[in-house]
Amino acid sequence: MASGETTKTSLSRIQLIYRIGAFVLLSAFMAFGPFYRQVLKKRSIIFRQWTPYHGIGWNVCDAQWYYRNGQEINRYKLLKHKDKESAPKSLRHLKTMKDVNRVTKQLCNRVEDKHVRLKARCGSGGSWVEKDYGKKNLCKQSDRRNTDKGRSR
Amino acid sequence: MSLSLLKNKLWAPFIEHVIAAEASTRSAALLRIGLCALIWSRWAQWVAPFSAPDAERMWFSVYFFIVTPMMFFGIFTRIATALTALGLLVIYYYFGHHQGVEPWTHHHTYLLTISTCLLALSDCGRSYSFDRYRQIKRYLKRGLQIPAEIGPRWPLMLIAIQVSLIYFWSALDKSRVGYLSGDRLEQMLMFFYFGSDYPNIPFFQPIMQISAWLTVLLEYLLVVGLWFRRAQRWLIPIGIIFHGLIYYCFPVSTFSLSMWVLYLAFIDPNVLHRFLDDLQKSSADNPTAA
Repeated sequence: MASGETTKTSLSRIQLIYRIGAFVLLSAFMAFGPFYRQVLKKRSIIFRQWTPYHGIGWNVCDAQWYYRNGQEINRYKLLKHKDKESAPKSLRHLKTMKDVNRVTKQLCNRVEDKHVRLKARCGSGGSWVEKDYGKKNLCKQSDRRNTDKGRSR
Repeated sequence: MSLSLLKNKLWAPFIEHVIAAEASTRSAALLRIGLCALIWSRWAQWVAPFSAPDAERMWFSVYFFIVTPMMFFGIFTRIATALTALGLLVIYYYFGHHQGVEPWTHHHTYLLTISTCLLALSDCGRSYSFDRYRQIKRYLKRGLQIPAEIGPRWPLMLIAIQVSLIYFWSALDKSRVGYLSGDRLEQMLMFFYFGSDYPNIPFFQPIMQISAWLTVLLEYLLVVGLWFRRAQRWLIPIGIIFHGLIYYCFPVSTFSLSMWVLYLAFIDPNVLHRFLDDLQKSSADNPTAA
């Protein structure tokens, strides 16, 4: 018989039981694993969940700072960097509110009237989490304390 | 539904088309070669003796570098593939989870592990292997007809089921507000490319939202569509582009290429066999023809 043709072999009873058993058990294992982890929310190292890329790329904050008149602050220029590309990664990529607050402090030291407002939200496993709506002057010590409190991750 | 109807409509076709069906082994052989190349690309450097932190890993290194080349070249293929699968289980469960080598517990490593385990159940050495070469030589010497390249089809079906399940659970995981709003994709692009400055790209937010919806819809479509030959014509190229784009944009290691290779499990092995025959026939008469 030539290759490339579908055939049906006659299987012995043992072969049949082996194949059916393996097929059913392995299918059940593959199907039940993610159900156990993702639906029942149980922990297990035996079973695998399928949530690809779930754990990557969420630790980033989207932050903008503003002067009293509402104009956006260019944090790179104000902190004496030529542009974004020449700034250190610690200033370009703010992972948590702790990083954002550190930059806020640096900006407060540079802005003459000590008035800096912040709009910030940080990544999570899902939607953005709003952290600051830009309504308060964060250079005032009391306001900054309020922002720091409970918002650092 | 009566018992006899159940037997005739479900059980009999299941036995005939899945359990007892035999087809060309070329798909399984190509899967074997592809998966083995991916296994090397993912681990060879990290299990080589110069990376081994202790004697245990040194011994594992010896094991790995004996069984994986045997699997690749098809030398005692079924045993070699089963031993490679065993080695990957050790990497994933023992070194990864038990000893805490965290990168070895990621989903792309599990995909290589489970696929190799399933492939070990097939006759992946009956084509494109040293075993096949020896078999042909033996039969020719005795003046016998060369045996056909056929083997059981159900292990390939299991691999296809695994791929469908990945798409299904992955799509289900993404079917939530945080992803479908585009927020999650925005975060990923900002994390890898833009940093903490929201990109000044026109329609960035709607583009992210549409991309998120298209991703989820495509994944649901791939769950079912890949099983139908007519849909494969356009779904496989779309899936290949989809995984290629993910690989291009994000650090996903061997996952994208693994999925490309595993698509072979959906293609009718006999159709692939004839396609490869045609491909080789075209240059058989004149091997030097361009």
